[in-house]
Amino acid sequence: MSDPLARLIGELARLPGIGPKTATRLAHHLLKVAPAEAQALASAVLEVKEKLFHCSACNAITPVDPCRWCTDERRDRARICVVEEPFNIEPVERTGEYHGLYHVLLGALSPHRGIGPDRLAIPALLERLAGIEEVIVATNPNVEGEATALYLARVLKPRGLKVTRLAFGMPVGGDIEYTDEVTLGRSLAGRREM
Amino acid sequence: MLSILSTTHFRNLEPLKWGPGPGSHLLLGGNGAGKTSVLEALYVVATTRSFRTSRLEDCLRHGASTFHVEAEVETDHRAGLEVRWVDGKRVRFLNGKASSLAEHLAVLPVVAWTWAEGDVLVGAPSARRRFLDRGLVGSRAATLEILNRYREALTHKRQLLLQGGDGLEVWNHLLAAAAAEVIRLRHAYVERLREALVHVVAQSGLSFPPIEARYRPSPANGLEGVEAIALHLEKAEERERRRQLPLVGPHRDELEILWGGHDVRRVASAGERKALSLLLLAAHGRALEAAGTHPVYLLDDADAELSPQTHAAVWRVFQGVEQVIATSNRPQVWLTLEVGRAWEMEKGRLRPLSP
Repeated sequence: MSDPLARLIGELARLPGIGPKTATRLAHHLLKVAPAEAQALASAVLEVKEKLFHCSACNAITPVDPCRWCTDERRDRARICVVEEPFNIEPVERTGEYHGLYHVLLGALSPHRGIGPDRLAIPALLERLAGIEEVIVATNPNVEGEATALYLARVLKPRGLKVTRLAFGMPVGGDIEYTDEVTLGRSLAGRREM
Repeated sequence: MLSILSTTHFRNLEPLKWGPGPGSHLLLGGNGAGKTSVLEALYVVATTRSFRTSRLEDCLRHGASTFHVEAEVETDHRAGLEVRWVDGKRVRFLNGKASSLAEHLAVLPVVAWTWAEGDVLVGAPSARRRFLDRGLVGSRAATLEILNRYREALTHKRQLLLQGGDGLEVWNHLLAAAAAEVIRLRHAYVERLREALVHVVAQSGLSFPPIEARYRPSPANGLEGVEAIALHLEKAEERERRRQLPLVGPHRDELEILWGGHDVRRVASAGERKALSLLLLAAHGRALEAAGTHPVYLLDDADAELSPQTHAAVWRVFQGVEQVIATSNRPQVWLTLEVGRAWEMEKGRLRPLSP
């Protein structure tokens, strides 16, 4: 294997979700494509790195600092939605149900991967709480996301803030008969009064 | 029930397409003929794992880079399961599509007696916990999510204790909630298992002393729920930090099997323990049946080490189940026993011996 090819495979294999075999396949695919196509990919990667960065306030990905969510005066400044990663913002936005601010933690608690509270953007969140009444914790409903949500609740509640968590349960259009008992159990635990 | 099992490039099996039908089946053949590989292929397609190896690539036929196992299953509807080894990875399909592991496991529940099953009685407590959890997942596949949640939170806590880091209370909070569910489920399963065990021992006709399965959760009052467990976790925190180990929780549960009121490991002979482990497996299957699941029973070389009388008594409890597949290399011990169909394995090929 020539050195440039080995280097490309090595770089691709460092990407999340890509193992050595997929990296090898992608590298050989790139070897086959027209030079213009490879150039377009390389320049797209460089452009992203040159033109986009983390918002200095909320850590969202943005071409201008502060980002559009932080500077939009029409947004509800009494509410802040906390997510794990920048790409978690768009799905919340698409609901059209939320008009407050965002804060990206840049991860979730995971002692197994060496990620403690000091590795997350929690101090920056605490600095943004002036005027905030409600913190909506929208971390993922897995073990790491749940632990992060619990940690945040313990830090934020003593400050007199309302801390809420996204509800879990049955999907819209779902059928009770075909819902597994774990999901249904969580739906029952998180039921609301009508 | 398994309708058709097909394999390609699996162990030493020649390409196989086998429709065993309901009832009892006996696979006869010498050592290395491929009997266990048939059971293993069935186990792999049903559970996505092997009972012989933790490395699924060990199931590749010599010189092959892929294998393929497929099962057509008939329950209240027809379903197709597939497990393949492709590009160094395990791939599974349910009805030709990707599915969750819990959905896959629910299609063809299997209860297997293999050499490792002896560990349930004489091995470490972890073998008995695995036995319990197979019962939980076999009864309700969705409980896999609850068990995984507990295991994952425990992995994080273990790491935190090793690192000496802060924030243990967050993980204890999550663990208490998950532990309460695990303990409740294991307790309910052991209750069903106890009843079933009494029934199968009586059915066998073996004159064993009273046998009892007893569940000992950690903490001992874990059945009282989340708050009771949380209190124990809080009390244990200092000790856990000192020893850098999680000391309380269902990862330390025990299933005791008592033989006439005594630990079975100390008082029963090797043959008695083997017979009991087969009866325990039958009870496990009955407990699944009580929960509405009808497993396929796989008995690999189960007659070895048993006297002909004990073997006949044990076989009695497996007769009448929906589908049981046994292997043996001792045709003589089966001559007087009732078997639905006998098959012969030779050099990886399977052929019927009786109509």
